[in-house]
Amino acid sequence: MKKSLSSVICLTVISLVITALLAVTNAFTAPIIEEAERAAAFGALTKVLPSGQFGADCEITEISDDLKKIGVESAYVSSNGGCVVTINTAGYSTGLKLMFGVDGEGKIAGSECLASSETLGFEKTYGENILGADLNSIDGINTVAGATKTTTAYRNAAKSAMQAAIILGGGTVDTRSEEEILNDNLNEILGTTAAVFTKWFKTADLGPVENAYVSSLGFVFESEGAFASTDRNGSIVNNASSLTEADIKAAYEAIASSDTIADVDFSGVAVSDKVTAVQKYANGNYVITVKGSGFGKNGPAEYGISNEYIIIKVAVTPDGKILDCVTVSQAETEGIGSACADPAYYSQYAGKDASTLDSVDAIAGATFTSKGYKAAVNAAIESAKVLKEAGK
Amino acid sequence: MEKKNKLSVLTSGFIKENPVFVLVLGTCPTIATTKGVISAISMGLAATAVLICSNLVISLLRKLIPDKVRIPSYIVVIAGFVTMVQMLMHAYLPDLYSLLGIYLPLITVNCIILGRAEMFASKNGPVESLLDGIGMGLGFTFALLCMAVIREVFGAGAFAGIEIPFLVDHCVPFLVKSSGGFMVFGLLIAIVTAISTKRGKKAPELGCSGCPAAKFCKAAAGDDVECVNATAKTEGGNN
Repeated sequence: MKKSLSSVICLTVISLVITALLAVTNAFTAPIIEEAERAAAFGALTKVLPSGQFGADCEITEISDDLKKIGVESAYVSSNGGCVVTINTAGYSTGLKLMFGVDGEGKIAGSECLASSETLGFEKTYGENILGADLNSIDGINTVAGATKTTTAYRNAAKSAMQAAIILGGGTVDTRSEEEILNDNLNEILGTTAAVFTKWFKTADLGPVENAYVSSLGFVFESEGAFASTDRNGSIVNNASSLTEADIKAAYEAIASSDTIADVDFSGVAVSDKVTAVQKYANGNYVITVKGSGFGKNGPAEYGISNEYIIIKVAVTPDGKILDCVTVSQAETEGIGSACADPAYYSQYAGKDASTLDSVDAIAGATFTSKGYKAAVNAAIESAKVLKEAGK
Repeated sequence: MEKKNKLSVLTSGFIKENPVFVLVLGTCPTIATTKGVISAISMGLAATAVLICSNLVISLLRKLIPDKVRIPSYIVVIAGFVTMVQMLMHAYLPDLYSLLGIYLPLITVNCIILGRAEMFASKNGPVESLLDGIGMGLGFTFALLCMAVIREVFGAGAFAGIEIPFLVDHCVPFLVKSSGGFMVFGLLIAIVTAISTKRGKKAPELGCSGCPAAKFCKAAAGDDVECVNATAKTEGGNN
């Protein structure tokens, strides 16, 4: 018992003495370490903003929601104008952390890549291209072919940095995304503020209406860049377009009746083997799900292909005219063939038929994906005709 | 005679009882920090500073520390000194601090330090322990330097980061890798053993009598106690 007690006391005393020595050492090394770390951080700041003067209170400790929305992680304000911001964004992969210096005139004075997981390394050198750019000229600066995602993300981050400089200077900027701006505009047309719109997948021919947007509060129809709206009961709320009342009513009826849909049993019908599912609307139009063999299926094995099909949903009339088309899933090469999931690509198919399908632009650098996609959409067109003949 | 003994305590760490090449302790930092001469010298000197301080303190406290808690006590003392060295390097030598990275705090579990505390400092006076710390520390540094010179010069074609013409284009990168490090390590152990044997020292025998720590270890003398080298390696791992 006595031995155990002496052991405990001895170990406790040794621990206390060592702790005291550590406390003393820490007391005189901690300020030196802190100062060195601050100097290193400020060194990085003046690297991207050489004219900047950064005092002890230069760091913005509370990042506002507006700044967070545009990806700003930290911000430092120079006492002689200008600021430095770090922005976390995603290029080819997530975790692209960039630091920008914006001078007193709102121009990019320097930039530095702090962390990245990009594949080609362009994030290390692209900053030279945007030196001196301002908010008016930044969109005109070219991205690098083959590293579009990385360099576009870099350019957008530089734009955000310049917007952050305005916000930090007490100004305001529109930080809404394109989707948010569209949604706000649609709300304005419908006379609401809280409606959340989704673009309607066109399963019926809406005549002069090019696009329709659906929300729980009403509908908005687009024609030649102008809009008209109805409430959920079809009463016209607003019409700033050239659409007639009859056009709007017809479009409303088409959408309101689009709930009536039935699965089609196509076994025994000679549809393409690319077809995986068929649904039919009361108006006679089909929604055909097809699988396309892109790079993921047909690409050379040495490139590490995904072995996945591109799944496409095509709304098509029984005569083979495409009403709408959307990519449901794909595992094509990220940054190249993956563009088949971009609305800018698949929306090209709307209004096409078998004879005009070739006018759809291919995806640059993605021959396998483009050919496979187009062949699958063509299979949907041909299958719709076969289904019609079979009385399905 | 006394003077001669103290001198031999100081010098034995270099070749005769070199902690790396003869006692084969501290293999992990030896392989990890000998890719370059600068990191090797830094690690050697940091470990030497800890070794000197811990040997001295443990020797002074050797009669006060109960046997049951000697290993935890030694570890607390060693960890304390390692943390102090770490803080001082962070404050005054930030480049070297960054260069050594995780291997600096890992000095705590470097079994050369725990081994010397258990084998020597706990059984000898403060002056001898201080000299042992200096000798073993410099022996460790010397071993790291030898390894680093071979690996950096022939593996990277450079010395202390300065490229050597001709060699930089005709280097063997394998030597800088861990496997190359083990190969150089083995070759240097063989050379040191060959030199020792040539000087008339018998080749090590199997068992306790062949152990380089035999003269400090009661187990080797036939007493019914635990082997000190086994304790050091078990407690600290072969770090």
